[in-house]
Order: sequence, then structure tokens, then C-alpha cells
Amino acid sequence: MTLMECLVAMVVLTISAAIMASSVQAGLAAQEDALAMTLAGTAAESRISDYLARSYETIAAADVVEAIGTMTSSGGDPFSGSYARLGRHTQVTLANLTVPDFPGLLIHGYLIDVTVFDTWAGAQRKLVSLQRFRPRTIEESEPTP
Amino acid sequence: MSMTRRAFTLIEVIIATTITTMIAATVIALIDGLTGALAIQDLRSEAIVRGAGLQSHIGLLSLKTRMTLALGEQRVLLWLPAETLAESGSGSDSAFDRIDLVDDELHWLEFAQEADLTWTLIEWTVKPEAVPAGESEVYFSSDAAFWDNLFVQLRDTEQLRRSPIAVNLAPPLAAGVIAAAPRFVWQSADCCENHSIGAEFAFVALEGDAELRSDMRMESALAFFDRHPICTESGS
Repeated sequence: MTLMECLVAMVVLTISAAIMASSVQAGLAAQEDALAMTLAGTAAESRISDYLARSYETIAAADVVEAIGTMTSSGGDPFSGSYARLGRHTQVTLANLTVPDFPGLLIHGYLIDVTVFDTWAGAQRKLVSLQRFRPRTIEESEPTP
Repeated sequence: MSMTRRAFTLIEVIIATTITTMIAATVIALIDGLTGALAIQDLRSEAIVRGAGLQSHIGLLSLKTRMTLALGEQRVLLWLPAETLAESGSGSDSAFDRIDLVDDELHWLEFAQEADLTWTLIEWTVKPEAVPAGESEVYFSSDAAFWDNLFVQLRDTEQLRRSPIAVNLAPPLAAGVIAAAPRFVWQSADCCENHSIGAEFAFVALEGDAELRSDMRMESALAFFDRHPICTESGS
């Protein structure tokens, strides 16, 4: 093998290694997003659970944005380390649910909309958005006069 | 025919050695980076897959749970009765007041520390075949100490089945401080008022001297909470 062949082989080897590394880095970035979405899912579910667990009369319409790194649990505990890059937007609005098979039937309740976001390339990026309806049950309804 | 062979000059050898060294250093750095990246990938894969699995498991349990009967940072008791309050009615003789140990109504979740200092999330359920005949019924109580004593008694007499749900867990990072242990979280410490259950823990891997961690916090509402009449009687 000549010196030239050896050098060419080394260059080819380097290029191959660089391509492999870049593909792993791309996979790593995709996986980081997947983990962020998993964490975002638990953060959104946590807020939804908080509202679903409350008694109806303690729920009120709200539009709250928790900035990145400031999310807290229903008890006021800050979310731990890995959640520091996430923020959360909670919207609670009065809503009526209709049932297609029962025309005229209206179910009163609150629509809870939770979006968890982070920042990507300087802009806010939506990771997960969950929406649930909290109906007012018969027991929670005001007595009919 | 005469053949003349010329050896490499010193400058050629030096240049070749320099280039080879530079390329080798680059390849080693790339491989080192790859090893670190793969370790991070392993941790993230584990966090994603096991986190989703745990969320699903806790979600399923909370869907079936009517009440939490005991709430401790490392151990909680979920009550999953087969019948609903509406079906059985209230009153001391109703089926709703009695808990049948052989009917899979009690599920304890516990964070237990292993010999290697990692934590395991365990689900304890009653082994029906191990419960002596005629001793399977327990009357409902809102006293957490009663349920803790029952747990110890059943565990020590090997009437509980130990099912590890997640292994190699670590305490979570909270407010910049690593907690002493993974812990359960809830909406209200009063079991008669509590409508949710959750857990805080972390997945941790070591990459050389560095510690890679992924903290998880999951909560789930009790979808079909059924406040037992004894809560009203006891004034809760």
C-alpha cells in the first residue's frame, strides 16, 4: 500500500465516521424532542387531573400562563429539574356540551385546555395540547325550583 | 534491467505521521462523542418508554380506584371495590362497607429502596390463596394507621404478592435539591377528600463521572371517586 493510498483510506474513514456521528446526533435531537413531549404530556395531564379532581364549585374560568421554568403542582410545589425547560398555558372556559343523539340536551361544564410549550430556535414551540370537558354532575347541579 | 527504489524522505514521513495523527485524533473524538451520545440515548429511551408505561399503569389504577385509604410519601393504598356505592347502597350491612381481601380490592403502591440504593416501585396485592378461610373480610375504616398495620401483618404472613412496576429509580430533583427518596403526591392528605394520586421520581444513568437524570412527575385524577359514607360519619 502506498502512502497515498493509506492517506486516502484515512480520509474515507474520517468522512464515514463523521456521517455516522451526524446521524447519531440527529437521532439524539429527535429523541430529546420525544422526551420533552413525554414530560410535556405528564405536565399537561397533571394540570388536567388537578381540575378534574376539584369539586365543581371551586372551578372558575381562567387563562393562566406559567412561564418556562415556573410550573407548579396543584399543591404549589415547583416541578423538578427536567421540567425547567417547559412552560404551560391553561385555559378554563364555561362551555355547554351537546349530545348528537339527544337534541336539545345541554351538559353544562368547563372546557379545560392545557398547552405545554418550550422554546426552539428563539420561538415558542407547542409540545402537547390536551383538552378535557369537566361536566357538572346531577349532584353538583343547582336544585330545580 | 536495473530497478531503483527510493525510500521516503524524512519530510514525507513527518507529514504523513502528522496527518495520520490528526485523523486518528478526530476519529477518537468522534467515537468518544458517540459513546456519550449513546449513553444519553439509552437514558432518554428508558425515560420515554418506562415513563409512558408508568403513566399508563397509574392512569389505569386511578381509573378503577374509588378512594385512597392511606397516603404516605413512600406508600399509598388504593381501594378498588368491585361494586359502586350507588349499587350497594349505604349502611353498615352493605357490601360497600366490607372489603373482601380475596376480591382484589386493595392495591398498595410502595417505593422501596434496594441494597444497591436504587428504588423500586412495587405494587402489593393480596394473594387470595394465602388468606385463611373466614378471615377475608375487613370492615372499612378511614384510619390510615389501621391500613398500615394490616399491610405489615399481611406482608409478614406472606399473604401479599409483590409486583415490581419499575426498577432502578432515583429520588427526583425538586427546587434545586435532590430529594431523599421518590415520593407519592396527592391533591389532599385527607383520604375522604383526596381525588388524585401521582408520583415523583427520576431515571438516572452514569456517563463517566457525570450523572444524567430525567425527572418525572405524574398525577392522575380518580375518575370515579366514590366518597364512602363513613367519611361523613367521621366528620371528614
